[in-house]
Amino acid sequence: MRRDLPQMDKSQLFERLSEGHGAAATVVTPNRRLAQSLARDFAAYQGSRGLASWETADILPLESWMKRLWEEAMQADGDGPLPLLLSPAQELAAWEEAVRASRFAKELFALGPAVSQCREAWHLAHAWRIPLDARRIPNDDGRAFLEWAAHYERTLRERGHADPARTADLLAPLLGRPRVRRPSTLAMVGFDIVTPQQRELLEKLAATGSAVVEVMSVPHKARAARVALADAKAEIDAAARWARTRLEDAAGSSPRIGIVVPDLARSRSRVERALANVLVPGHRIAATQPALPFNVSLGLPLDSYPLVADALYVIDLAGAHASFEHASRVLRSPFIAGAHTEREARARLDARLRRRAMPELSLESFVRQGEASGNGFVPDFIDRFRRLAEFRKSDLFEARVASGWARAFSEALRIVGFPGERTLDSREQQTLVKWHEVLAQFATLEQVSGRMGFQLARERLRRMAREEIFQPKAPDVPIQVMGVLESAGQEFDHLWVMGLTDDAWPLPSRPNPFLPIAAQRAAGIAQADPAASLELDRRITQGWMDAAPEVVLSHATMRKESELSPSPLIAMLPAETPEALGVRSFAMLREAMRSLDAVETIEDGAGPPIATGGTTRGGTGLFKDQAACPFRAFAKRRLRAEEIETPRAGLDSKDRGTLMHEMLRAAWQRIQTQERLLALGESECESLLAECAEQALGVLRGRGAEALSGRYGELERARIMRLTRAWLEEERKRKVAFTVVKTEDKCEVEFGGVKVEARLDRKDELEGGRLAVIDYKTGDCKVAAWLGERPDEPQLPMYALGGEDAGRIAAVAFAQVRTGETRFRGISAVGGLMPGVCTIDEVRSKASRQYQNWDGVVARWRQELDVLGRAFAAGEARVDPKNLAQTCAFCEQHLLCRVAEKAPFGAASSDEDAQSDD
Amino acid sequence: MRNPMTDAFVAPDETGRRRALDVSRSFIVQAPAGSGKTELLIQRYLALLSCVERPEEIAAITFTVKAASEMRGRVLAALRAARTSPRPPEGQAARTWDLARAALERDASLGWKLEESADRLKVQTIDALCASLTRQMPVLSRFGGQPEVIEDATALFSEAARELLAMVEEPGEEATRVASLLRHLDNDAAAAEKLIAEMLARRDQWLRTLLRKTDRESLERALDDVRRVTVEELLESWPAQAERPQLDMDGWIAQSRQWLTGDGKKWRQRPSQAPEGIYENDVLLPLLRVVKDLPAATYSDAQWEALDAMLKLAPIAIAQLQVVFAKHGKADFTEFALRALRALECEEGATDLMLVLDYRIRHILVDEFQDTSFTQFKLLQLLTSGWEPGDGRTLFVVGDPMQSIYRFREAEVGLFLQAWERGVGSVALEPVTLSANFRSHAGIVEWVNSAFAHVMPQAADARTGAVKYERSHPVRPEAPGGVHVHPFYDYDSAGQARAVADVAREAMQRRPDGSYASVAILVRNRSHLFEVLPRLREAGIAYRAVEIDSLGHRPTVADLLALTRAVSHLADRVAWLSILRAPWCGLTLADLLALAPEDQRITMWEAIRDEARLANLSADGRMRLQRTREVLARALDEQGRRGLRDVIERAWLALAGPACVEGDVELEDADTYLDHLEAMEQSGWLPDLRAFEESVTRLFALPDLASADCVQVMTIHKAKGLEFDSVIVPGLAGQSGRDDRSLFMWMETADGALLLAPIQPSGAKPEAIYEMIRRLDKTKSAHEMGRLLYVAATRARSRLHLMGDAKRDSRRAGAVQEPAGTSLLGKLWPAVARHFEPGDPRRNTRGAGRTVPLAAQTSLRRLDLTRLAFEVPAGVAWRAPEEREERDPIEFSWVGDTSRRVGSVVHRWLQRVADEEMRGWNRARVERQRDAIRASLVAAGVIQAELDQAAARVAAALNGALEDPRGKWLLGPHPNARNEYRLTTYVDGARRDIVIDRMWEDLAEAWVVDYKTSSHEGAGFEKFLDAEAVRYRPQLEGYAAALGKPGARRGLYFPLLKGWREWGGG
Ligand code: SF4
Repeated sequence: MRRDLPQMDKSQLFERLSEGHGAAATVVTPNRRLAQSLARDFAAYQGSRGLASWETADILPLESWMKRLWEEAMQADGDGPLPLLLSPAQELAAWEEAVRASRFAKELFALGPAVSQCREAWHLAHAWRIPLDARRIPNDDGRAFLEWAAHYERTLRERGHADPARTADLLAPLLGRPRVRRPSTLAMVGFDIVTPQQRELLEKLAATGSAVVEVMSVPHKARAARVALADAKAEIDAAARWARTRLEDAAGSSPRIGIVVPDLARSRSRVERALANVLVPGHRIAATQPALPFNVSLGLPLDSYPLVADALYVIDLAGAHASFEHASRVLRSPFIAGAHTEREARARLDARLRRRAMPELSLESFVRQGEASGNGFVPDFIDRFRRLAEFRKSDLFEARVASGWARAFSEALRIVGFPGERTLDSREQQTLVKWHEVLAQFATLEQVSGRMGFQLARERLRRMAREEIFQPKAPDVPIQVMGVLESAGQEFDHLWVMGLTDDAWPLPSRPNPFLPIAAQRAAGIAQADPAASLELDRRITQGWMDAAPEVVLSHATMRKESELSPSPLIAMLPAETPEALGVRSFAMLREAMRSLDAVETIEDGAGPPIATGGTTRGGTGLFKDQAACPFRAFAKRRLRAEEIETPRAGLDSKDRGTLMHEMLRAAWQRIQTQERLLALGESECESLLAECAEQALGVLRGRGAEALSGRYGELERARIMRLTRAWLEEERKRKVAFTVVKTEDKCEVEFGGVKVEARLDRKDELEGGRLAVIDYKTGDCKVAAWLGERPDEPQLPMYALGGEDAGRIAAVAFAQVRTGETRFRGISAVGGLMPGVCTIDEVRSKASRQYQNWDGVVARWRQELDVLGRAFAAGEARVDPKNLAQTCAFCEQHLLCRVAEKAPFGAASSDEDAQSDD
Repeated sequence: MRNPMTDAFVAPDETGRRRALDVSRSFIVQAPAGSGKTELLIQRYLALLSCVERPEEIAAITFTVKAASEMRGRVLAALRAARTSPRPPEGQAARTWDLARAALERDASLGWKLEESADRLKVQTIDALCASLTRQMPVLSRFGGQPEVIEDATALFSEAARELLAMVEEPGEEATRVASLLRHLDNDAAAAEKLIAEMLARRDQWLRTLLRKTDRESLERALDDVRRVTVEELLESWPAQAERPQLDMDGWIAQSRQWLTGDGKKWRQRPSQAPEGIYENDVLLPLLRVVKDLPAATYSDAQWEALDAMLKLAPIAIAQLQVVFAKHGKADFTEFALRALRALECEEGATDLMLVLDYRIRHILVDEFQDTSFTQFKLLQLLTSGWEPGDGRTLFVVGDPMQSIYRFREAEVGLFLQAWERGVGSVALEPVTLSANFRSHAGIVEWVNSAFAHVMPQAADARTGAVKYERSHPVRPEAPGGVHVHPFYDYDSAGQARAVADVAREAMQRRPDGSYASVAILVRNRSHLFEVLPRLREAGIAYRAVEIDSLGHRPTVADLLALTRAVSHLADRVAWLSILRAPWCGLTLADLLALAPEDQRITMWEAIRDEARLANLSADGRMRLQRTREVLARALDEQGRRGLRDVIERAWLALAGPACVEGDVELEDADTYLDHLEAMEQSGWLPDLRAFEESVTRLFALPDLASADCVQVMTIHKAKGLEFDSVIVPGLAGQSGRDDRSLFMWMETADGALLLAPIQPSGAKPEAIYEMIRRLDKTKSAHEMGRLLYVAATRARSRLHLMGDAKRDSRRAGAVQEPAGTSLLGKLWPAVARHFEPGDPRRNTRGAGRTVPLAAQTSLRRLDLTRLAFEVPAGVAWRAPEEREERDPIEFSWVGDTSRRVGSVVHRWLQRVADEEMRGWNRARVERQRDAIRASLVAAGVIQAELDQAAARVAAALNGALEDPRGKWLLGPHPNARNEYRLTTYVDGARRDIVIDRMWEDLAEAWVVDYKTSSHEGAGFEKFLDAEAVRYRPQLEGYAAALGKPGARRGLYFPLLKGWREWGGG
């Protein structure tokens, strides 16, 4: 709106301001950024007059000015004290109370943003004088809003609070109070919009004798250039190179360079990176962090700062269940006491807890598990979290008002030694101060909300931290990066505005959903009306063109696969290239490194041989790994490379296997012979199974399997009993009677110079004195896994060759014990020994054709196992998976072996077609 | 060259095209490949513009963002052309020009300024439409605040599934149900989680179905009906002359099992052979097969228990999902669509959008209608609810059911067929079929016509998604090229890869004018390229692979991932060893072994810093390690201070990571990875490393830079909507390799009853009900495959190369076997079989899996440290301001704030007292201000619990000052006095604003005074004041300097303590 206010230009304004406080001039701006920039301009002006200090010019955002008037009025003698003007946090809390009290509260997906939108609607309605008349609200959303607004107003009335949306209206009658400092001149700078509400206040002010003037900037006679670039990345890069070119060309003098980025919130980090990389290419590898000549005027949500995030996680953990990953983060947080001293120990504890923890846990169980696994090497941690658990018991349950919670939260943080032993850097210092401020603000919610429980308190605090947009202070630098709003009214030597595509500028209209759009449009709210938005944005665009002697307006021509057009507001300008504007290119760090020719390739396919003599750790699994992939065996068995695990619900298949093994072992320890098995009555059998299950579960529980504690454990008990029942049925069917002579056996075996311990699940003595060795399997199993080169399952062959009574062994068998598939599979010297177990010539597979008979099988086993052993002993570490796609699919060594380098088109292709046919 | 779009040319389907522009009627348009439907859409849009009041009244819905921007761009271009260019003489272009002209006039008369506010052209994807609807209806949609859209919500589905499963430990009925479910799935929590997560991902499909009546009785009734109908169908076809056994339904099932072989494909021979007249009857065989597979009439109790648990848990799972979405502030597109539906539905039918949007949607255009989902269809029904013919509102849907290939994204081609027959909701649609093909030359079009008449079903069926083939009429004349079928035999994938390379090379060299013809290699699955890509590379053919290479397979990304994992967790030993083996460090195996502690509990980071251990390394290894160690130390220290991406990227650069990459494209890969890392990290860490790692495998490497002379490689899905001069489709015999089972299956019978079946228990045999429904699903897939083939074939302008591999049977003299019906080749077989000749089958070379030999199995790629020297590019020269560490000691408790707040209130009141030169101020007056003081304290943020004490302190301070002689002197009248005097000055070169509490100046001397509200208990009072004086001395010196009065006397006043310190002056 071009207004009817008297005008002055900036130099007149500065002249007036330089008269000092006596002139009683106040300058108001639409935002803080502009106020700061004016103060800086004024300082330059004063400096040019040779002054080193002067009476501070009164320049501040309009909002702050109104708040100051209110505070002054509070001190003035009037009819009793003024009501409390709610702070933004309190105001939001009051709205939240209103929404929560309504019938929608439970159903809403995200309450917080809805609350903010209500607040915005309420402010809009007051600022633009939109009557909130139920008859004029046509839709359900509007009606819900009215309901909330009524609640909000009622609460304010009852509590005697003043409504921030009406500050301007409430101030008008107070302007005459004695302590209220009315300026003799109120100068307005940079207002693209003045709402009717503001206008009324200004008119009141004028009526009391103040002069209200508008400050116009003198347009620079700029030649605006439009630059079209391939994509957003190229655009940012060009702007960065432009900024560097201009800064360099200014040769020592400090020009003001502005870069306006409309979607700054989203592209912030990209912009920052591009600028830093172009302006100071080496900044990321410098020994000490160099100062960067630019500053981005956009904060981040406070809860995204690790310091604050961790504080919130501590609070979460202190009061309720937390996910394991969050607990893990707290455990390894740098912001609690002992974080450095116990750093490695805590990481170790974490890795250990991961093996058997559940995805969700409580503070108590966290501490309990920590004590069990980590007592002794993380004393500080255990001590503090034990105290935290005690504190929780005594102090964190009862409902209380916000200030009470603030105190409790602080205490919880104190107990864990927040913010840690590391010296905070200046950014962290400021963040900490801000965090305290937020906590203090949270405490003041007691003015608007009553008592609340832990969950709600924590949620609100978290939300306040999220909604607090914070940016640590930055020094004054030549290049300013800002969003559209902050750019209003500022002047520069060089200005670049990017992102001006036709779908982004003019801004698409985004009316507030709680107010009727027609009313918003009628009131002239730009965001609700394409036409008004076009007008406003046209003015803003003109403002940019006038804001500096050099103005560049840019846009991308592609986004992903879509083509883009320039904004219609700049399309009339002829397109130019950055080069035509004299923008130079600069050497970049990454490219400089890339152009090095420093890669060598050496042979390194084996490590040193193993020490001779003694037993090698790893058992038969070592041979299994060696068969699958020599590198894997080297990494796992010699480098002992393991990854960390992610807690999952329930037991993993390994634990389930162990459980089944334990169960069957317990069963055969008791039953021992088929004869006994056959004689076993039904009820006798049941109680035996129950006993065995308890024993097996006990073993796993003893190893810390958290999952087995509750109902899941009961299900698992039922499952192993069911399976064992089915399995015993198989055993009953065996035609050749047997006695279980071993339910577990170990022996040392040696192949190719590697001596390992071979374990056996079970050994049966068959009628007639022959022996069968048996391996329980809860997964898939095939006889083929014993055959050919590099056998997949060498365990039984190894035992059969090297175990005690090796000569008497006449059958090797898998006992497949899994739901729906309970059977033996194996090979034997002669037929008919066990069901599912046959001689090699009865095995029908391609691999089996290479064998003549049992002796042939045994001989070949020895041969293959010796080959594997020798390779391992020699330190062989070829990256040679037996079957690329399958072997590598679940191998945890894939980063270490560098298979990606060796099979560039997808070794682990198992995921490849996950997206259906896509 | 002739351009059919602009030349005087009458398309064979001209009447239809003209009719489709009638803005008073609603249409459904079938537009086969190459029929120029986009132009038609634009024309319709322009035509509509000239009859609406506001442009927003037209809603155009596209399938992709790209299509939306393209369509909007073309509308704007048409408007611009009509304003600035002369009318083309004739053809489609002239028609477009005329329509645009009319739209412009409308624009001018109503003042829309369309070309300036392109946003008013509501051309958007259905997802964007849903988002904008829910945004305007926060309460009706129950969204409140809009979540962020997340394209890959896999992790959230899993989280919700875990939450559901965790309920097993909680009290209540749900726990029992979760327990039943777990029992059904063999108590395998991981499997259950996966099944539930998949079910949630596809909730769009079943949500509405499950809200219906699902009691056992009605479900079993439906089951029984299906059995009855099936047997009746059999009996209807029973040959009149043949004897018919009198059997009940179960009897028929048993009988058919006797007569047919296990797979139901053949008649059994003796002794259970069917009687004469029936045996070998080809009509009865398929009918009997269906009967044979019929389920029992009732669920077994176990089945029902499981199904019932699933049905009852489904809504709870949905609720959990919403909690998870809300927790993360994210939601998938489906959620937006479901919420939009919810907002639009109300008792009276549909919410009146006029009241919400302030305009009415009067015309809707939908592109790619064949890929509509149930939810989207429902949304259209709601948007058009109450529309009547002739009321000035129209619906215009365009699509090609023959190109419906997005079943995995919930597309349901049956909806197109349904709309064709019955319209959408209350809107009847007039069918229009386009048949002109402007793209391919006649040779290809004719081939496609003849081949696909067989590939596609003979009759359309909405239920099974069967789409009939519609012939196209070529507009471009026959030209050299055409369709080539390349036969291969017996898993000869290497031969095929070679052929692909050869054909591609030849295709690219065609044009005489030096320009390159465009060539594309299209595959059904990425895995079909396994051998093709290395072959292309070997042959030196440049290619651009669109979303083919998983980022996880790129070495640079793998290294960055290792670095991320190592920095994220000190105990991740694999990751730590990996970063020491990576090219930037490049330790040999021997050195790694020397370094890695036997004891696994000792972290590698501890080992790396253990000098004694380092002594065991080779000298070269030590050097390498030390260099790496420094960087890692920095990275670990930066944790919690910078974003994780930043930490990782800095470390990567410091290690000279970019020097290790093999090609420039890997630098781009690194960027893609790092950007992804940044998107996934939350306040500096990755909440779930495993999930993150999985998400990386779902990212794709950027295609190599585009250049004119390169072959495009992509999936057929990606190629939809594109065209190329030559198209090569290898791997036709490949399978899609997916046979996943879902937690439950459902289908609607012809008369709308619902069939539902739970997955069979883990380890159990497939169950008949489930399998019966699953067969329908398979039928749908089979139909879609035919369409996929159609999409591939119709991408070609001039040449189409089809390559497939068939097996020859050694036992039957090398006869060619018909390929599996689940492969594209199987679908195409009738049209290409004649190209495959019998012959001697070579040995099956496939062996165990695919065998592409690994390169460099024993070598190590690494940096040569001696060649690492380079100059760091210089930064810009500028004058950096001096950084001053400003460190006020921080009280580590928010409670400390109260005294600060008291201080500020005291200052304010002292200012007032001084302003009024103490006139009329005394204890009684302070007392009268009690409420005002309390109010200022509350406004300043003092909490209730401390308010009394704080107010007392303020009063004490004021009274102290009023009663203390020093206070009286200080606050009393002085010449040239100022309170809260604000100055701007420079401190150490930095501009600062300062506030001087009080100052005055007479002829003799000037005073600068600061108030301090410190309190002090107990002894040592004087000492305390001295200490305070020392502490604040610099501050007051600064004030004096700023005032330009170095000779001013300085005073510190402590109203609470009635204390005073002064110095300076003279
Ligand atoms: S990922 Fe494959 S190549 Fe690497 S170690 Fe494992 S099995 Fe071997």
